[in-house]
Amino acid sequence: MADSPQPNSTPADSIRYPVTALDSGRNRVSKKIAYGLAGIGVLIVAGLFIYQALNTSLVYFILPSEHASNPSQYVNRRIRLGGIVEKDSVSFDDEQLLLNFYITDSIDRYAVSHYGTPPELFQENTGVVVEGGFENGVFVSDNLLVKHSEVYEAAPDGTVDLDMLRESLE
Amino acid sequence: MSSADMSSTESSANLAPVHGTNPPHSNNSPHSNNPTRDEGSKTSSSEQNAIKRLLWLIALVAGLASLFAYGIMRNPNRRDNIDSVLVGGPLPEFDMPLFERYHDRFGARYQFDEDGAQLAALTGKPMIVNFWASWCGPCRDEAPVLERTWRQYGDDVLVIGINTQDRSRDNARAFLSEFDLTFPNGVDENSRIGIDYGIFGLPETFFVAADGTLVYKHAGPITQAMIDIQLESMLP
Amino acid sequence: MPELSLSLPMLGTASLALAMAVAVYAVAAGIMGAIRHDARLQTSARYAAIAVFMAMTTAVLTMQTALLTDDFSVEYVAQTSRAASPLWVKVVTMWAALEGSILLWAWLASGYTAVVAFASPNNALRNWAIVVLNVVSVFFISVNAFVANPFTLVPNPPMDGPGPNPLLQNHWMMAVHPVLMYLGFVGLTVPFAFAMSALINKRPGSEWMSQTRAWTISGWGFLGIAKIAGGWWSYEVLGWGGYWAWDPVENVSFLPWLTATAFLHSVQVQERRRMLKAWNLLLIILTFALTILGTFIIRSGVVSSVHAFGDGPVGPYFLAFFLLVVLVSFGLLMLRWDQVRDHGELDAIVSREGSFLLGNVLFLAMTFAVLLGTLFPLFVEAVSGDKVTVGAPFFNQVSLPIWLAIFALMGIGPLLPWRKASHQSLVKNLAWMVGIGLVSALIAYVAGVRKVYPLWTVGFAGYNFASIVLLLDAAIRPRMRISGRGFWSVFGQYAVESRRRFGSIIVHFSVIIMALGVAGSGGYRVDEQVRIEIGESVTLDSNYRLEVVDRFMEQTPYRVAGGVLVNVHRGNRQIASLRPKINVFLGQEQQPVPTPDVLYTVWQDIYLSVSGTVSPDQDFVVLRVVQSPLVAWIWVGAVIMLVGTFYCLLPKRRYVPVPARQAVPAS
Repeated sequence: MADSPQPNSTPADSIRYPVTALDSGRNRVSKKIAYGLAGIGVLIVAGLFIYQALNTSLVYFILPSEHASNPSQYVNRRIRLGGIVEKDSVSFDDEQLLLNFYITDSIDRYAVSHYGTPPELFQENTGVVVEGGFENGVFVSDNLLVKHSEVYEAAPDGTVDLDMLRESLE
Repeated sequence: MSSADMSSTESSANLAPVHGTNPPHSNNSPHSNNPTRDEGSKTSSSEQNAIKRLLWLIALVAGLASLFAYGIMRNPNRRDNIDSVLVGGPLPEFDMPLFERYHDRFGARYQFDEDGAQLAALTGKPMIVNFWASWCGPCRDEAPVLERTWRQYGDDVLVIGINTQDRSRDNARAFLSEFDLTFPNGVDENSRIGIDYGIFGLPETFFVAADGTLVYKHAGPITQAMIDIQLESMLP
Repeated sequence: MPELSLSLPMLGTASLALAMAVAVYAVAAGIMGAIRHDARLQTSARYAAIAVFMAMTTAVLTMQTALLTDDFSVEYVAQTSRAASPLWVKVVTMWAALEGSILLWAWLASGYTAVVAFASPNNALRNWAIVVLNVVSVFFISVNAFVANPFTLVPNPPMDGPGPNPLLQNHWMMAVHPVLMYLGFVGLTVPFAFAMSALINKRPGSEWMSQTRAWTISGWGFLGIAKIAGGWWSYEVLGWGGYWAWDPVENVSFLPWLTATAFLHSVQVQERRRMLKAWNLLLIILTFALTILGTFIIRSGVVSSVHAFGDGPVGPYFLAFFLLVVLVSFGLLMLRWDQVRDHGELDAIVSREGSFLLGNVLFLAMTFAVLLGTLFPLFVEAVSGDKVTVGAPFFNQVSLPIWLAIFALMGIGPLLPWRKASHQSLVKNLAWMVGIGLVSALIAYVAGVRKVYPLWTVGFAGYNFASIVLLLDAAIRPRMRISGRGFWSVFGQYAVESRRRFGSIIVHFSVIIMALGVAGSGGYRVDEQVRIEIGESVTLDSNYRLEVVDRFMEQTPYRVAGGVLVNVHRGNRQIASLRPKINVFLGQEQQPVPTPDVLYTVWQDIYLSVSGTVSPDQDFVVLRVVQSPLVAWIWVGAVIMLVGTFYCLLPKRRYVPVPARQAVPAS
């Protein structure tokens, strides 16, 4: 009752509430609800938008064997593929500027085709991360990072500690 | 968020007293209010609200803290792991040209691969691999120590010096002449070996058992006492 | 001089310890002084702030001496400096690595504290503000003193060191960029400190923001210029021909700028309408907290980034400080909630304050989206264990619409009156703006611009340009009518008397220029790798012809560079000679860095970077050729923005009309 001035308030009251006196309580409540609904609506739209944007631009980092075990999950997606440059597989076409090699984690291997000159530290048996996607079974990369450290060297019997490889490439 | 806050405020409160979120009681006369009771109830309810809000804040902070704490813990690239990666395992292979002064006695190149040292008559022995550069101060301190070790244990232990990241070949040669190093020293071309061994600074010294596994890695200048301790455990 | 090399680092460590002790004292004295209402203790705290600054200055000078005299007994010098480096590289090596940059930050923080302690007027807010600033100083000095001491000794000093990271010594901008960045961070700490003081003192009115206006504007200006300087460095050095990659390191320093920009606008609403009290406090707290959070993210390696900052030992310290800042400052805000919540109400959305509020919400939405994208890999890994990165497409998709909306508001907001706009004037203004915007977009379309975002940007650029003309018109025409003077005379008076208003027009104008630069270079960048035989030439699609004339070598005591001389032809005319090269810095042989060469032109840049190697046994070279339209306008816009910001900061002066003919006749 007292939280909003009465319609038949005294002149003194109307002076005390000069601008907002016309705002009745009900009006305010409905305004509140309107603002609230608008806010929730905006949040939902923004949330969906962000979800959609995130979903399409998440780039998974995986090893060749992880891709091989579930290729359908990564169809038409951009991925970062990490592994070791297979021995005797590197060729560079300096006319087309295409660098071709096999990337492996000692379980599975994929052909990689990278557009551009090989980076300074690129060589066989080193760890690399390529970014791109598969086209007709070949991984087409537009970004090649050499990740060098001693842990990439495969053990003498050719096996690789996958967890360690994964961690060291990340 | 703020727009919601703004809309929730009472427009009439514009001219209300400072703590005016509570409307006056139904009686319009200010004198009939019980000021103390009013104060008391208001403070407790606003205190309750404040506590509720603080709890939210603490929950948020705890969430952030645990996320970031996880982030710090899982980070695999921390430097203190590096030693453990190589120690206990086989050393990475390398192949390097030796300086001219060692060609007569040891040949032009030194190869180290899975089967151990390929240097004539030097396979099957424990090995000390030392990385150095002529510009590196501590390397100068330890060069005589390594030379003494080589002269003392030379029949049982191979000492190998790898010159890496040096200004020029000539500087390195001058260094070898200055200390008259007689154990084989070679050049790490393109810093390849240094990278493979994950060296962070100079000097660094690796102790390798006869079967080719790394026993101990020492970063920084090394002393005779440290060498003696390591060799004692490696030699039969 | 063995005595000197021994005593230098000790002097540094001692001055750090002294600074630390005095800063702790200053905090204690300030708090005690406030509790006991003891003016002498408060004064003592102010003098202590000066002493802290002097001790930190000694530490900085000691570090500079160690760097300039090649004192490799200091670990920091041994790891980051090199005897053969030129003088300027040695000076800036102080902030080329972690310990030194914290030292710089701590020094600037203590310097600002000292200035506030002495220059700010004696009033209710000053004492607690100085306490808060001193707490910040204590934190940074303690990081230096306990975790990242720049004066650690090397037992056996080397003869020489490897020198700083080649990417940093390759461009003079790297000398400036970090300093600007820290000036921005430290500058925005001042309004934060006064805001905290306002909360502690239960005086959450407008005085804290009015008193710190110059600090806010200058801090914001430094931060913005630092970001653009970083972008320009990236363009000139990194060899990929871009300036912004949505890398985590870039993102986290972008966040405080976003909230500071929102703050800069919403303070005006509080000053004019006494509204948004809580909102402004929230924004300035957020700005400071994000500064610390950003440093934590960069320095701890929690999010992987191409920028190799490594993971120093300081991560947990910054995390702890961040959490403390969030807990204490937001906690305080919540305790005072009943006093800071608004009692006024927005009269109409279509008003100056309505547009500012909407713009604020958009800036905050962008902050949230960028923060989410940056931290999302960490969430995913914590929840599912998958390792992911969030690509640039996310940030572009989310931020471009928000930018366009902000761009639209930027045009209409300043034209709206406070409280409530009359529909008539609004419709008239909008008609002009939208009309000119449509015409601009149409011209761009005819000229061949077909992509959506660049078209919108051009349209809104025209719309904003019209808005600026309308703003000036509305300000100048009535004054001309009243005073009867000419346009330039009135314009001059307006520009001098309404400094903030006119400065903000200049800044908004620079935003238009930069937006066009971003739209052109972002939408129509062509990036290709071209193989050219030495002595041959290749014609690009854009009718530029690149002729590789010859290889060259350059050698200085500290670096070797190999490159190619490329003549750029347009039609039959040679318009430039470019010399892109690859550098190898001594001591950093594993990391060759390119020095691209750029032909800056009004319409489009030709950017050449050597890809692969230049060697005598190879008769061709591979060049990365990037053609970015309008990119130069980003740098031009940045300079205009700097001018506008500086203009806002000039002290107020009454305008005296040049021909003072209207002499008052003596009565």
